[in-house]
Amino acid sequence: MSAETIVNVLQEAWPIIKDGKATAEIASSKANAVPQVDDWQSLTDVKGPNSFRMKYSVGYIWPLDDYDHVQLEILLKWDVGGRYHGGGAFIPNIWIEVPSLFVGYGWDANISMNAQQPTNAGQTGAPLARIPVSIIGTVSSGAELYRVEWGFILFGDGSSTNA
Amino acid sequence: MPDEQEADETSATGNQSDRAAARAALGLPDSIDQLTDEQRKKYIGQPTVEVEAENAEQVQVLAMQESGDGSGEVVA
Repeated sequence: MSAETIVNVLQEAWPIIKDGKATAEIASSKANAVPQVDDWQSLTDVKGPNSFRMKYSVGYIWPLDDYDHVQLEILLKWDVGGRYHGGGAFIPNIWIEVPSLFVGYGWDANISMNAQQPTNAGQTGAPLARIPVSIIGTVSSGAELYRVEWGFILFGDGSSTNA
Repeated sequence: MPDEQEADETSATGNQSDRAAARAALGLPDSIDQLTDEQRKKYIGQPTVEVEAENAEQVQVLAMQESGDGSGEVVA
């Protein structure tokens, strides 16, 4: 057990959209990147949340553009800057919201959230949480199958990269 | 509801009568159920994908203290 070792003690993966509908797991599932200590819930100075908004849409073109289509928005949110014993930068919560979702007749969508193993990107005595996450899945009609994939690397200090 | 339907039927790319005429000219059916797989493939547009960072607060990383008194040395 060490605060220099960073772990995810919550979920690693959960469905976001299944069979074209938002899942119940969205509300109950979170990931994190916290020190491997018993009292990780005592993190202080947590800020945020930071967020990425992802938008996806696909449909028919003229003159079939009034037929049903797929349009969705996914929010990836994470709290930043959590300190343990006054230092380090950890991520106590990472979660997903789906503010809008329309999957029209003849279409399907299946998308999930996946958190990879977190690591320590900081210096000795000042751990910095780093955790790659991906939102992946498919959107399909009777004729086409589209792969959907967004990848991010989130850091405890609030920085991030869009992989 | 009728107003919503009317609004749906008039888009930036044309109204419903133009659309129906275009479908007829192209030999397309009136109902999506009657589209063949080939027609579906031909008339599906390219997906639009966007990502934007909405909130990006950043903090300094401090060194942890044995006492946990909350003070720390700025290291980055």
